[in-house]
Amino acid sequence: MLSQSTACIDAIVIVELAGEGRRPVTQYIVKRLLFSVVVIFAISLIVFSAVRVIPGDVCAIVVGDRVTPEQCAAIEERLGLDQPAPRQYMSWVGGIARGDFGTSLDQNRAVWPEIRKRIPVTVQLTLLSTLFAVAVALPIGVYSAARQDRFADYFLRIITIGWLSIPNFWLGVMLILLLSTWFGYVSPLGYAHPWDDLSTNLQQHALAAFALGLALSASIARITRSAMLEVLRQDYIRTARAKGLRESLVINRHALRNALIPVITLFALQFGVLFGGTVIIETVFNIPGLGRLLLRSVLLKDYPMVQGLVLLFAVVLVTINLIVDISYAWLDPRIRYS
Amino acid sequence: MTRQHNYWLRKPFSRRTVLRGAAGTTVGAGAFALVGCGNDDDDDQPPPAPDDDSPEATPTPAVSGEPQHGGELTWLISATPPTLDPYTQTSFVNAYVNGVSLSRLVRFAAGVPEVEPTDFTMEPDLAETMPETPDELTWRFTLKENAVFHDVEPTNGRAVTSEDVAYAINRYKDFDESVHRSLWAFVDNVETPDERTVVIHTREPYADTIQIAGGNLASYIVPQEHAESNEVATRMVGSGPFIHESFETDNLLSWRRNPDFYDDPYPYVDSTTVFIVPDQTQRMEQFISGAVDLTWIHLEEERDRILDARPDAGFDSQPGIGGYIYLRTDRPPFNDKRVRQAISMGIDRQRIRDAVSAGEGENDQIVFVGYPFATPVDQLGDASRYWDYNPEEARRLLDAAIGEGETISTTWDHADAAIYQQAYVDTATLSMATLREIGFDIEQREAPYAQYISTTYQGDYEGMGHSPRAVFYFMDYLTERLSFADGVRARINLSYVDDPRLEDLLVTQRQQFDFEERIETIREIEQICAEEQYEIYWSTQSRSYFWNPAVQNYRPTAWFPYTHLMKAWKEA
Repeated sequence: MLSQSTACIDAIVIVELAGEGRRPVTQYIVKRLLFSVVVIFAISLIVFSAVRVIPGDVCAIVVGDRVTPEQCAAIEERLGLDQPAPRQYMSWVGGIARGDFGTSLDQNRAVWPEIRKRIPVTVQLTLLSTLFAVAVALPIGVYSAARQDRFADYFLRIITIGWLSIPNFWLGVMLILLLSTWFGYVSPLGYAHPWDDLSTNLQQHALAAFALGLALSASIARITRSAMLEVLRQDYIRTARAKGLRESLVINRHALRNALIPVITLFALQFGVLFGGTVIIETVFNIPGLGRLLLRSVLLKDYPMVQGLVLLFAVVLVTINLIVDISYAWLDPRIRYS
Repeated sequence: MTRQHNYWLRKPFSRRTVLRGAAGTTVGAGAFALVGCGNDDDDDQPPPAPDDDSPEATPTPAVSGEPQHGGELTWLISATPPTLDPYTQTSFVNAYVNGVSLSRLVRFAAGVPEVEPTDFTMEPDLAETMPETPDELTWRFTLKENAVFHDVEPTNGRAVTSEDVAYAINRYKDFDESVHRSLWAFVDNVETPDERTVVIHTREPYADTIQIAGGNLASYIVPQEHAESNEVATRMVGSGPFIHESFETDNLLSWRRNPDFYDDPYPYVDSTTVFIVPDQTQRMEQFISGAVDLTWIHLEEERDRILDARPDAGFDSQPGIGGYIYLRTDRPPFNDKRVRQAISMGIDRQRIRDAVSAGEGENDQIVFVGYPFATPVDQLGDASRYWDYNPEEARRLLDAAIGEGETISTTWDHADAAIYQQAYVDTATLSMATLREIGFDIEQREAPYAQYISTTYQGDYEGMGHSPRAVFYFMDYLTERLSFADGVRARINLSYVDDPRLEDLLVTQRQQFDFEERIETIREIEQICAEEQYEIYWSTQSRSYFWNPAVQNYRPTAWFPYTHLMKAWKEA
């Protein structure tokens, strides 16, 4: 079991418990934080360069096809796009250090307030998707492992492979069509804040969370099954059973927790996919979150907004990976960091 | 100007023409988008295939009962407006919502049951009556005495004056960041002899003056104190029927009734909200479920689903302009008209229609065949044969142009399907397939919309390209497509057409106030374009409009502004 998780996280080593203190953990976290800063810096450079390498004139995109070269030059000057790229980069980074992500080329809105406004929307969607995925996947994975090579196991494995194969955008469209056709149901238009109207808010997110979380639940279910099978073959499980413990206790208390490390590793890896999935799912389900904003900004070649969003996504992913790495120690006391 | 002088005022489209439009191919909802955002086209109307079995539009909806005040009208658009500032944007989405809050000198009369959706006719808006035209260079408008701006900051209900109108026209015409300067270039100056009189002097007789003053774009009056503020991109302040209340990007815009609106008793409803829903399926199902009052779509399958699911809904189907191929006629091999003719004959339009639009639609040409005055393709004389799929003749033309058995290697640039929808891409792919069979070696180059619109669509391409186009509301749009006057390529002359015969005809038609005379000139332009195949057209498309049966005194319009919502009411 451990080999699977340590393969993913090479900074983690297993050491003997005796004589180990907490300092290596602190060092590890500091090291990872510093490394994260380097990663984010590199991402910022890549994003900054990438949006400028794409052919196309931002003026024509933002203003429309009637724009003249003279008008375009004036617009670029106003937006600072006529400056050398290094200066633009420094200006952008300097702004971020002051909390200013710049001004969107689309509608002249400040970037950060627009992003900040949408963070709760996407966070809620991804949390709901994750909750759905975990709630469905863990029981399936555990049950499937406990019934290995029986009908239920085969059935659930086929089901989860099916879920993995369904593109979320297709599933989203099908959900809209089928629920409308069969039950006359469509999710409410607009966007209701949860603290204003929780019922409407949940209706607006439910289908999207399901479409987004289904493939993740399949992945988690399959890795849970594999991890559980490995754990269930361990000596201490045999010992627990020999002691006469109830099977449910053996599985839930002794096996499942130890099987969770690869599941959490997978979750960390899949979170990027989940986050990326919001771009399409938010569009299909008309949810005004970060994903939809990113899609629109990319189409408009809105440099400042794309840069701000991608940087935010990068920070979120790096942070989640860091948290997951650190959480290993909590999940498995045998793991320490050096 | 008198009604006799402006034939747009007396040339409504026939109902038959509109009903014909129930046919049509579709290039998808995105095609509509193109129009405003970057394409030249936008709305249209076409004719039907003889074997057309598409559903017929319902008869002009009857108005039942007396007008009722109150309630809310809800509708859908597919994209967030890039900005709400009418001076610096050409997006069709802008025009949709600008027309709800902002006034014009004149406005489209369409949008009510008795007027055909594609009727260009204008009626007074801010102007008390249609303008006086003491001569062909002078247009005198008198503003309504009770016209006031919205009672919100920064106008606080002040009167609309002639200075406001002059400011708007001059801003469209001269402002550095205005994207409509070419549209108003025919204006010499604007006089304001008193607070209610606006006199527009044109440089030359210009037959489309009223159409420009009340059209989809560059016609809205936004007062200086708001136009030059930082809020103009995100908030609308004008004198229109509804007061803008909120703009939530990617979510909605909402308005409330303007109690001081000059055209009593409009508007009837207390408020209106437009939801921004990019997904077509979502739009369709929201309407079917009754969540919104109005919607429109392009795809035939979706149209048929709504017809099945909501037989009670109001329905109107209009033809629209499909796409066209442009090519570099200023350089080999496309400077040889035989090559262009071969391309046209190497495309199997019927098979493409079968594949992408359930067989609906008919052959289109430079003057959109849905216009009642346009010449149907099969009546273009000898040149009509270029619309027939004839690979043998196409190859013969190529042999004559480039040598027997020789092939042409070229590029074909276009946008991806993200905005223009899959049918737009499929149409090109299917065309390339048959063109390869007659000797074209085409490299298909697909680009993201943003890249396409700012490069290829600006004329920056090598061989060929294609685009949707919009139905325009003034005939002089031909100049934008075909002119190369004084060595300057007109805005959307993507084929680099530079033909002195056309140049003369373009000048002539825009100075002709007599409709019949102008049509004669237009026919000459049609003939030249048909023979030369400067632009190669596919087929018309369809646009289907649906509305809640409780909505009365409403009919869709092919034109962008949703100003006509003010005339509709909802039955309790």
